[in-house]
Amino acid sequence: MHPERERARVLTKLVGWTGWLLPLLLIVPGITLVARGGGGGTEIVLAALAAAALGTLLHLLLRSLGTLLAQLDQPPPAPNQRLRDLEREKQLLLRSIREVEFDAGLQRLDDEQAAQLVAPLRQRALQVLQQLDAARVGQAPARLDQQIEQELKRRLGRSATALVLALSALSHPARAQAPGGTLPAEMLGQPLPSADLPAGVLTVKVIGSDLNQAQPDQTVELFRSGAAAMARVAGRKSGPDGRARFEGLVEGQLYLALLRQGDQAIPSRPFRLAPGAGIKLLLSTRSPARPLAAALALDEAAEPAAAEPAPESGAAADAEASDDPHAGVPGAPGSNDTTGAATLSAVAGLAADRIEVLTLRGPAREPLAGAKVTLARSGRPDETQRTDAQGRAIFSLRAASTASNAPRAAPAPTEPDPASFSLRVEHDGLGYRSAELTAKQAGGRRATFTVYDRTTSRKDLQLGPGTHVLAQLSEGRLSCTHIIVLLNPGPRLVDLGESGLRLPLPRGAVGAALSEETQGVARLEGDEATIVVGGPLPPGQLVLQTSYELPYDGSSLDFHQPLPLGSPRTLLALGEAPAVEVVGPALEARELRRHQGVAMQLFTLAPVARGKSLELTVRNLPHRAEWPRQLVLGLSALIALWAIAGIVQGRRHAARRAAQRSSVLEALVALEGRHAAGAVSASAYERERRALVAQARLVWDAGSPEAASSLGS
Amino acid sequence: MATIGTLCVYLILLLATWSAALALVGARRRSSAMVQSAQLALYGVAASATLAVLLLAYAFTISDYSLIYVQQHSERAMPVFYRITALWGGMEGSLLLWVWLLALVSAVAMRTNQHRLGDIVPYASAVLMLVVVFFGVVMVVSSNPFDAYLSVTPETGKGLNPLLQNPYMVTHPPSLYLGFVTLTVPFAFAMGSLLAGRVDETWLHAARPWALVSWFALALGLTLGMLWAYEELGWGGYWGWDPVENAGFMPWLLCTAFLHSIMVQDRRQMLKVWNVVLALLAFVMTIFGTFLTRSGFIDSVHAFARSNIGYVFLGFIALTLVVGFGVILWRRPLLRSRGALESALSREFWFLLNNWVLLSACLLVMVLTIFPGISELFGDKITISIPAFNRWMVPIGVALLVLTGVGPMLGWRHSTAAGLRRQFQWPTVVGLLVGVGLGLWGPAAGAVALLTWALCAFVIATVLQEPLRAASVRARAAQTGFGQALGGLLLRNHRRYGGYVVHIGVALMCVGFAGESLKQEKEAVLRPGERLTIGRYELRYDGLRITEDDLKGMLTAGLTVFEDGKPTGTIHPARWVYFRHEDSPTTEVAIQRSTGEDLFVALGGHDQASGSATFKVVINPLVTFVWLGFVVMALGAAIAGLPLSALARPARPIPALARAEPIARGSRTDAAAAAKDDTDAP
Repeated sequence: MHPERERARVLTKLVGWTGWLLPLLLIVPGITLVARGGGGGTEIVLAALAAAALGTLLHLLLRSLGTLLAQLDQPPPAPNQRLRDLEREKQLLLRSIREVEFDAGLQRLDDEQAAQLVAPLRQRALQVLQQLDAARVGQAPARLDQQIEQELKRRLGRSATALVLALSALSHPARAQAPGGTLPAEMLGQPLPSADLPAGVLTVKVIGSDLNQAQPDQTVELFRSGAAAMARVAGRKSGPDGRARFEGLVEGQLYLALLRQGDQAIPSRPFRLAPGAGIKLLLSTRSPARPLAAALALDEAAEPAAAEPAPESGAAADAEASDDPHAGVPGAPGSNDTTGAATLSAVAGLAADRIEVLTLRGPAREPLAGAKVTLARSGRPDETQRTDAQGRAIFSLRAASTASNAPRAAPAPTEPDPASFSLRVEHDGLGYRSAELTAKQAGGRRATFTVYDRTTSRKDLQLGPGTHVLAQLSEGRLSCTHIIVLLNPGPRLVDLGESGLRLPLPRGAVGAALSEETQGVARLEGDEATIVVGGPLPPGQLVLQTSYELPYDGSSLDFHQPLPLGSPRTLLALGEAPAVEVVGPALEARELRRHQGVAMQLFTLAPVARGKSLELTVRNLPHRAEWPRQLVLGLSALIALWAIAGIVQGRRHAARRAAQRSSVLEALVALEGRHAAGAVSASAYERERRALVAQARLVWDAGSPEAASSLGS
Repeated sequence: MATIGTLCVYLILLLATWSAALALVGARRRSSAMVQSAQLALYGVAASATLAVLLLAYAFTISDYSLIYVQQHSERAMPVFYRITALWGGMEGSLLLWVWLLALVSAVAMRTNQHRLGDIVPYASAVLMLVVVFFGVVMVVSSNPFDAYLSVTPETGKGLNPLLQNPYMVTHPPSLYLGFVTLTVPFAFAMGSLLAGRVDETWLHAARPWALVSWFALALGLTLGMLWAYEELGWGGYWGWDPVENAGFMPWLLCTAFLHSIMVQDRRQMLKVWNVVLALLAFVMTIFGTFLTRSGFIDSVHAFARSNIGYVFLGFIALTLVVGFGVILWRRPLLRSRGALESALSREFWFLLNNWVLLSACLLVMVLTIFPGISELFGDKITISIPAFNRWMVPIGVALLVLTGVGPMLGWRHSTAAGLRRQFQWPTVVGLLVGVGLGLWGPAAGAVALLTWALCAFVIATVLQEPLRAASVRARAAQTGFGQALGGLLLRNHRRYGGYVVHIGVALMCVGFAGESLKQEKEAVLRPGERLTIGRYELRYDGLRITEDDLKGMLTAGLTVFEDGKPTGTIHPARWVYFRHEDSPTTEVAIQRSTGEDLFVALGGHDQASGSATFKVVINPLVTFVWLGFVVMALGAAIAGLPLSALARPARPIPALARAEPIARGSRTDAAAAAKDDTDAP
């Protein structure tokens, strides 16, 4: 069998079963519409038009492929180029003559000029008409066997459906749905920016001991930082899924949400809105509750805190407030002072405008006597005193505030305004200073100032328990909030020098940003790929919070983070991605929790030695499969290459065809010669001639020299 | 939805590549099977694009936010009308719209010309499909409107840019896109004729209708854009030489030049190179406009359409220019003119002048448009202001008016001095009367405005005089009534006289443009009850009203208008703040229109406590003539484009024409056809 026919037969057989595909494709949208409860006029019209377009497309594809297979390489009916040229020239000449005469009629030209212009045109038009007559006489109409073509098209056309089927596989991958996991304690009360929520929206989910224990009908209250205290903004009851939703939060304001339990409350960490995103919060009824005032005061104080100083149980055991927000903030660049860790707490029995500075030394917290303490306001020293044997020095805030501005007034223990100040302690020739402290509440305050011996050795530094990564899937990237607990377990303050402590982010991290609190103690360097902790580290822990994104373009992502410090067992929480897997040598355990469609995976990661890397692979990430796109682009490129090759080969084809034409013409000439010489019978001559003319038609070309010369003759 | 839509996008690319490849190879090998298959694949592209557009429209209708594009450009509260038209509210959708229009136009153009231009069509089809391939690659690689969210489908949409939620913006972009797309067809036929080696005038006949459609669509798009700017942007004008306005204006200028110059080639077999170059440049300008719109290279009021693929378009422009000019150089020997300029007093010479002026205007607008961007590359950014544009463009506009008036008075090849005297006599008198009259007794307009109005009168007089004179000649020669002669003349020569009507429209628009010189403008802060006086109007501010609907909050001011001391009505300028786009309030101006002038009031800021508000009040004289001019232009385009000659009764050949009959000795049908053909077909 002819190869073309064989190919057509095979294709027809292959795709024959797909003939019912078109009705199926038309029925499916209809069923979908009915199932969706649609029925709107617009939808029906659109669906009908879509179905019609689809049908047309299929029909055209069928015809296209069928036509191609049926007529491959068949020579075209030869249009008579020269005839058309002559026809065109005739029209132009006639029109030109009319124009000249029309212009003459409008008196734009006089008769003499018109005659001069028309004469050559008429002469040329006459020649063209004569040539046209001659060409028409010699023109042989080309005919094609359309019936055969149509039959071939009908029989082979269905093969185009195969193309549709093959391409239908080029689809997006299934989108991953939300998974879940267990609940690290660090996640409770931790604000998590979420791009899924509109800006200004906060959702608080109230749970019991576990994520799948949603607590409905719980009172959640939202507070906003006011001039002197946290002000209540709104209250909501949690819904059946344990969620309470707040809207209209303003970017830049400091908020705190708490779970109200009578006079007690379970607060979140204070938070500010991330630009363009909402916030998700998780609060547990099992978390320890505090008195409402303490919860608010605690958070008022803790809000700007980035460093958590060493515990000061003795100094502030009976105070209603604890760590000061700015405690432990490193000194300003260029300062010779070392930072001391200062905390602010209330002291009963102390006048409201008084500040008692309690100076302690080292982790042993021994009173530091004879130290020179300077209280500064707005960066300017206000008052200096020496500590007594108990390490105390007492300052008057009001007096201090007026000392620099106006004559000292009598102390008036009324409601003091919020007062900001900083402390500087000098001892043994070394300077220590606190960050800016703010006394926001009434009553006397105690500033506990701890100074430490210093060391430059970093060998004891490590990442502390509580270090974790909260990850959430976004479009083609993993959005991570990384909480790094930097632990200085020794008794001395670690001087990090000018270079600071460098903590690389995972490889490939982009869009890194530090939380507002962390910006006070660290910065990003090296194309935002490294966190540099600048100041000296007092004993205790420093919590850093950074967010970044890990883009990916496939189904997996390598999480590789060099750790210059040793890391204990840490956690990776992956929200709303149940299908996503995390594998790697560092993985110790995995827990999956689901509740009402919300799921979270919690991965426990093994300790990592100092100088090693945390390495994980995240798999099954939802992504747009690249292969269909690449396949389409590749196919297009192949077609283009084929076209280029075809065009180049077209020259050879033309040459071959010219040779065939020449050969047939020579054979015809030879036949004519034999016929003239009487060497062939009349019937044989006629038969052979018909066959040769038929061959000539196959290889004839309207643009060929032979065609042109025959027309010319 | 996403899967089928993406499949359609992939099919568009594959079928377009397939079609282009088969067409080129088939044309080269003279294989009709390949060529036919290529054409069917082209129809397949059109069907795929249609399906894709319908799917996307459907997704907008049902607010399918699983599609990123739908979520980013609509919201449920929007009327269905705007939800569907949001389809072209962003990059991905507008690219799909472009491809869809191009595919449809290609299918129609190839279908209607496949028999007439059998040897050119495969190449032209290949060129069209290669353009589709370019857009297809852009869509597949970076701008697929059917990309779906990978993880979580948002519950709400982000809404459409408030500036686009305007009736003019519903039709303005598709009009411009249609104009851009249809300019691809003349380019394709020009390249097709060169590749096929058939460089006679045949391709012009295929290209002309599409150039006319493009010219009209661009004019419509530009006018709608002017109306949008006038009523939405609130700055008191309608044309600010914004880069994106210019992006549509530049191809329109070249298209106008092309429509005139193809007449010269058609009649005189001249300007062959010029025409293919114009077709190439006009097409390139459409892509250049897209580059300007998308790249952010230039600041524009259309900044919402920016993306990072603008520079891909720049690469495509470079490739098109290299290949296009390469092909022209390759075929240069075939492009020699058969005719020659015989006189400076010929229509072809003045058309050439007209072409040069139009091309100069285009290049000037281009240079001034991109100048800020270029200057920024080499140092400080230098902004080109509206007066700077006007300083150059007003003289060019005046020159074009002169050409518009003089061109139609000249005959092809040559005109006699005596004939010209007769032709110019009355139009010149009319022009002078209008100019001098307005100068002496009209408003205190500048010299340029007076000159413009005089020239407009001159143009209109020439346009009206010509058919009257021709009808008179025909009536005298054919011994018919004047009315019958005029009617027959207009119907049989509808292309010529349609063009003349367009010239009247242009003149009317210029009347409006020149009215800008009489513009009055005031800005004031008013408390309720306070008044502002401008020209013969007095406005009393009555107060503010705040309302809202599902989409937006509306701040509406009420002002009572007094004309010559008598109240004539109230107007209500407003500002709307869409809830999803609170940082982009829209200005809803109030316009009291009359034939002579518009009273234009825009609401600026306001003080809620005192109730005071800032108003911009503008008197725009003669602005109605701009819109009226466009309507007349549209009418002219319709007259020129529609087959009105079919309505004309066969005319008795006038003796002058009858003299042509002996030429067609032996071919009487030719002479009969000649008598029926258009005498002059711009």
